[in-house]
Amino acid sequence: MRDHEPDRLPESLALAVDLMRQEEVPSAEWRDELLRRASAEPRLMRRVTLSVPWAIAAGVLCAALGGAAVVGVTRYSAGAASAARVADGVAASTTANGMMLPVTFSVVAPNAASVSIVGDFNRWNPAALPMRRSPDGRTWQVEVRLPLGLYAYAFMIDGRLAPDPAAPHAAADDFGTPNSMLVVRGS
Amino acid sequence: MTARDLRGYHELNDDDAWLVQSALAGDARAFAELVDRHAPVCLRYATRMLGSREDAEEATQDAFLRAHRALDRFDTTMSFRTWVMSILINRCRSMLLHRRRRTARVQLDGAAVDAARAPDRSGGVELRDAIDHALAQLDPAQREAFLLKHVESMSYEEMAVATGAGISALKMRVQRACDRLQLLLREDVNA
Amino acid sequence: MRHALIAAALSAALFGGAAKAQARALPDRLSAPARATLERTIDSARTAGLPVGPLYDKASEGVLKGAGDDQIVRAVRSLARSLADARAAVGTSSDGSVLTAAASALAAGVTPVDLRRLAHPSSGEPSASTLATALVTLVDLVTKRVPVAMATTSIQSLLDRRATDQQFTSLRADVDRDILAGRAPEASVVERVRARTGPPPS
Repeated sequence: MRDHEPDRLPESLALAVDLMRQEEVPSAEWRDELLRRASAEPRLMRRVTLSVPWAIAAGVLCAALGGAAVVGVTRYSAGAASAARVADGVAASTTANGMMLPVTFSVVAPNAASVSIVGDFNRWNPAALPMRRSPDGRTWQVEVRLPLGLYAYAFMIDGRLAPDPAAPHAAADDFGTPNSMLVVRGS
Repeated sequence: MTARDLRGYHELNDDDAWLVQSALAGDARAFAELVDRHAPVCLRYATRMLGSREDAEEATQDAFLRAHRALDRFDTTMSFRTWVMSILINRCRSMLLHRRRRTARVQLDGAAVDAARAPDRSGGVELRDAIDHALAQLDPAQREAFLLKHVESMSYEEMAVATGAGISALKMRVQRACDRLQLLLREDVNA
Repeated sequence: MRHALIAAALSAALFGGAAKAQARALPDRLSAPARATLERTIDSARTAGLPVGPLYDKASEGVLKGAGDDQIVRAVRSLARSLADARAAVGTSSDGSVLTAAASALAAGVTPVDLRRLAHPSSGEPSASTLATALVTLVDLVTKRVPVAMATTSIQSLLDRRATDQQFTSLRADVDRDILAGRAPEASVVERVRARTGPPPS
């Protein structure tokens, strides 16, 4: 009958285990080779499944967008505005809904034929807010007046949805395409 | 018991997590530091497990390279040592499976003899040889459990995470390994 | 109802179509049964005092994205539940944006307990816009593969130190830049929050 616990080493094995515990020191050559091989490997990157906005932001042409390279530049002109202050020389106007503040959305899409913005502020209607192409043809832009609040939105680029790379991402989408989030705040 | 419960097991755990993050951010020295901290223990385990320093070097190098590749998937609430050891454990199992059957005697050479460093122990080299021989005769799963428990001083919880085996199975293997080793070594001594 | 629609049309004409209309209607493209189910869900939410705008928006979003009726119904129901849970966590007098942001945080994996703590930081209650911004930032970090617990702790520590909207926005921008430069998001968050708060969040 054994009365020793599995955790306790039998006395007779103590010497053997001492010897087994002796160090095995890696040689300098072994170490050098390992480090050399490690550094030769492709660059350590967070292996994020490159979701559309990051593929875009990295300048990678995303096939899903049919070749339109998109880099988002979104300026929330309402961002730093206080309730009383005016941003960018544009008057903040009030309506029955309360304070509305101007927000400019921009996206770089030089190869696109048409770009609009869809979101909670326009019932996700792609026809409601078409964006205008800049003179140099690379940037699309629209200014919108929005009541204070939180909005999910995305760009519609030649019929395909793309989130705004420069904006916060929404949590995983119910419908398979991710959104961007906009907070319009007054103070 | 999950890997998360082992948070804080290794006193250097937080430092290791920071090194992992730095390595991911591109700091090559951080990875080298991780290697320096953990390779000796890994090499020791692999050498005892495989019975060959050369094979152990190969398995350990392979394990670290795999860890390097998978670093972005490493859960930093887990102990880095547990994680890299779990990779190494698999490498060793793989190697044992694919190895041609041969006597797993350690090839003693001058360096190994010097490295044995058994100062006041009687029968230094012969005992070492006997131990290696006895280890080689253990069932691999028992050898694995025994080494992790008594040489690498892992807790059963950590062993469960690293090996994927259940704690009671591991306890049984360790106990059987102890019994067998005692028998083998007694025989050897008496032979 | 008709006056509200006219007002909505007018404000749409005046303000480039961006004004939120007072009256809401479900998109035409939904089938009658789906529409009926959704109206019931929305009505329950309305009775419970939850904001219904987001529910209509979710339906519109689903239609645009080509989702099937079942999927849309599921999504709207799920959002209604999240809004209710969010309100339980952050309080009954909460701003619509805060509730929506909080619901989004729950969906991203923040626990109700943590959410309550975020809404009531040690420094005293933040403004609605700050809290909404903080939660939106938190969700953003999670979508970038920062573990939920770490993102939560980081945002909490900023809220505890009365961080401004601007600080949350700039934190997000800094982390974005770091990620583009190849840094791991977690390492970036730890460092960027530390720079804003001093000692690291525990």
